[in-house]
Amino acid sequence: MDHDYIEAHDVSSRYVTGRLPDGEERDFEAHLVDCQRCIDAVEAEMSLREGLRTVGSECAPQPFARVVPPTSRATTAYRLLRAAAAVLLAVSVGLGAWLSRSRVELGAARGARAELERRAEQAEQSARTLEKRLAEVPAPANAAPTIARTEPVVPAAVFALTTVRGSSVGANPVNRIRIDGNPKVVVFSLEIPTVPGAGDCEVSLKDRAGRRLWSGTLTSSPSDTLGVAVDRALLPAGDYVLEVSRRSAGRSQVLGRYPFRVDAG
Amino acid sequence: MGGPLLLGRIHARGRVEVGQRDAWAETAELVRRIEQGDGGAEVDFIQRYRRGVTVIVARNCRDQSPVEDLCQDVLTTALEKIRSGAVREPDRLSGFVAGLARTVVLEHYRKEGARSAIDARMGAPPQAAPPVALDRLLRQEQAFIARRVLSELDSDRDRQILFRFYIAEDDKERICRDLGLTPLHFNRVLFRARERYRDLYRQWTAAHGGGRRDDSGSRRTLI
Repeated sequence: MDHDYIEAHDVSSRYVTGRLPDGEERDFEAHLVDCQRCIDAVEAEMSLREGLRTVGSECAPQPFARVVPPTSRATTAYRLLRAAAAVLLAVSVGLGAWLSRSRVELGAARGARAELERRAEQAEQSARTLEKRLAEVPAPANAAPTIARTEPVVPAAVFALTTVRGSSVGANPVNRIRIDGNPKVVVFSLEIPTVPGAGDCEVSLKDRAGRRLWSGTLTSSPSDTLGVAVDRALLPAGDYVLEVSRRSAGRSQVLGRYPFRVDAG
Repeated sequence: MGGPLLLGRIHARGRVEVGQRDAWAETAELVRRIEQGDGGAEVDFIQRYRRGVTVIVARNCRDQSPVEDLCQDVLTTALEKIRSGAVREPDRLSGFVAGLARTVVLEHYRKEGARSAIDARMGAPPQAAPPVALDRLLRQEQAFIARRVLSELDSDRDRQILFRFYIAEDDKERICRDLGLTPLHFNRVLFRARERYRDLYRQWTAAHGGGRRDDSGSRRTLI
């Protein structure tokens, strides 16, 4: 086996990814073991593959602590507002994870992180403002006294999913998640392609058999990232796909498919 | 110069490839020296084959933890066989060493399978040792370089090509069909990503003293 043949037939790539027939693999190894040039090529390919595997399997669970039980109408509203703030915060973190993973170089990632921290701070600030406003709302006469809160409200886990075209559920999905702890909500950060024209997005969660477990509608947004919060109870270990589509002129257009596997925690 | 000099095959980029016959003659000479008890030849043998054996063992192992031990095993066994004159075709030493590397890995997993069956009957095996800090650092660095390569690609489609080819292990034809690509575009994306990764990888290994080093001071592969 010579280098002309190896280059013309992409042998080192096929070797690393296990695509060589057995006889050809043995021939290549007999050459490879004593060829520094091919060793360099194969080492780099294996390293690239490992790096991509790590990037593909990375996820950033952000567990939150337990909620204080609501005691009145005011605290229920407050809880919802806090939940919204927490989800916004979680989506920001998820967006940050995705951006830092695949879009920008390290310097840009640092900038993005700073920006996200600023946004997270803003979200916290908003939550504090809302809290203050709620405190100004007179409580009903029969309301129970407000419990001092020291913990975040919604236990949630955040994952950034990568879109995969043409891949069916269960076919070794790139996205694999493990939900640690006991979050009530699982938040997915989905990057969607920018599509001209307005229209609400429909997001659906399907299981391996294609059964729709949940669906919801989101109003359109200029952002190319969607945050989707799903009840943890809907996601026992198994294969799923999140599908984002847009309905326009009576037809549904799929914007992205995000197959993923939930590993047993 | 007295006569014509055979340089071997000249390639488009000006490289010269040493002829196969020269390599065979070299290895035959190496085997002869080891058989005669030349200690320096054994050092030459280790230096010549260590990296190649490591790559083959790493490629054929399911995980990286036994790679170093298995490499030692391959090189020691190969030296023993050479010393005892068991290598019948000294000019095909590379094929012998590569074949031995595969056999040692297969044998390792065959034994491990038998051990797992015994463990299953006797009770839970002890937990594997957690990855050491250096391995974690290497993984992080690999991921960092991979991210950088991904970020430099032109489009999300190009990033998908890499993921589907290397991770999902889809066929090139299928990827091209699904993404509406020509084979030329596919090859170009893969080529560029590989070259870029290799550059960054070289920079990283240079910055870290040539990558991981084992006790003998020889370079350990970043896999």
